[in-house]
Amino acid sequence: MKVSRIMAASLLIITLLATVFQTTGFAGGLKIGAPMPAADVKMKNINGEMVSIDDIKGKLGTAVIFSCNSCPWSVAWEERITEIGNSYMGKGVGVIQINSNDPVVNAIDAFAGNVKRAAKLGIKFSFVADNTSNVARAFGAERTPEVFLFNSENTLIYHGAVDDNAQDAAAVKGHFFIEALDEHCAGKRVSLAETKAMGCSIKFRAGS
Amino acid sequence: MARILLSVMAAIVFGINGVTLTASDEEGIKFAQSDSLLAVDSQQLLKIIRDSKSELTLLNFWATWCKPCLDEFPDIVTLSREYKSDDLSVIFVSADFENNLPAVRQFINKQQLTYVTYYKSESDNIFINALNPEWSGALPATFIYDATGRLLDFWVGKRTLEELKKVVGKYLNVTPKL
Repeated sequence: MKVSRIMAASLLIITLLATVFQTTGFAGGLKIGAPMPAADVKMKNINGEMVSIDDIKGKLGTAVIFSCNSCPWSVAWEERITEIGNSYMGKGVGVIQINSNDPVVNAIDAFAGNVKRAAKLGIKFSFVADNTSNVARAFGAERTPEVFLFNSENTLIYHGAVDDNAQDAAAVKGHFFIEALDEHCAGKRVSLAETKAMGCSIKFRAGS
Repeated sequence: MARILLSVMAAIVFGINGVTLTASDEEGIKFAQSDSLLAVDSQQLLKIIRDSKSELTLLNFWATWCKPCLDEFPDIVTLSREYKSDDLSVIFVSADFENNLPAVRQFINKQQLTYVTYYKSESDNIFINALNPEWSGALPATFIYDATGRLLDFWVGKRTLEELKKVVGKYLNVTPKL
């Protein structure tokens, strides 16, 4: 009797722990269907204003892209990210790019670097500095670039790569981010909800 | 003796310096110089791991533009030299773009490696999921496999030599053979 009570208690604890952690996917990243975290955290935008993800939400949903100015993979994809972001913010999708890197690691990731980069690329959407790296932590973001697409109810519907070829835009076969956006904007379920790509690890600031 | 002659002939014919070969050529040039750099996809890599004669295989993904990768690379090389090949094999796979392979060669030549290294030649999405669906794709990433190719451990981020020795020691349950 005592043993079965211990086993039942153990099962309950395991179930509770699984429930608590069910919103995280691979390596702690958000799982598809998870709610948007840190939506109200204010971050400094390239125009000097403090902006949260909530502030830029679109009627159809929100795209959150963790990227930076220093990682060769982010640089390889940045023109495509800019084109996608500029295009879909006009289609009812809020777009925000977040740089969570500690500029102590690379000064180009300081706020001034965001401003310069945005000007060079012609970014029209919000590009903010996550000055504690805590927004990246809340998302479970690990690398740059890393894309999170939420629907109008702030539920995650796509997570992963921009496309399947960082090196050569002309050789892309899987336009993962665009296809997710198109399917969602057409009222369809995103057919390929999770993809992977290599990238630089996010250079987190010390925890706060 | 035949193997040595074959590898010497292969080295002369292929001019190992700066030549990129596929993993399917690996058997013929197994003892080639350390600056050989082979293209590899996920299935080829998993086969190489399964075919390893070592008790443990440590697989490390790195790139020349990844500072933490470059920081820990020499420590992993040191680690590989502290164990007998029966105990530990080390496999490095670069995630550099193909137009950056000269920089990859330059870096690995400086490390004076005595074994073949690789660069990824497959789409990230397929490659990453084949290695470990839990891996986000961030670098550096390190995997530990047992002699059958079963994944024992995996982490993202750099480790010190002491931390690496601790992990390897745990799975080998032996002290390094100097």
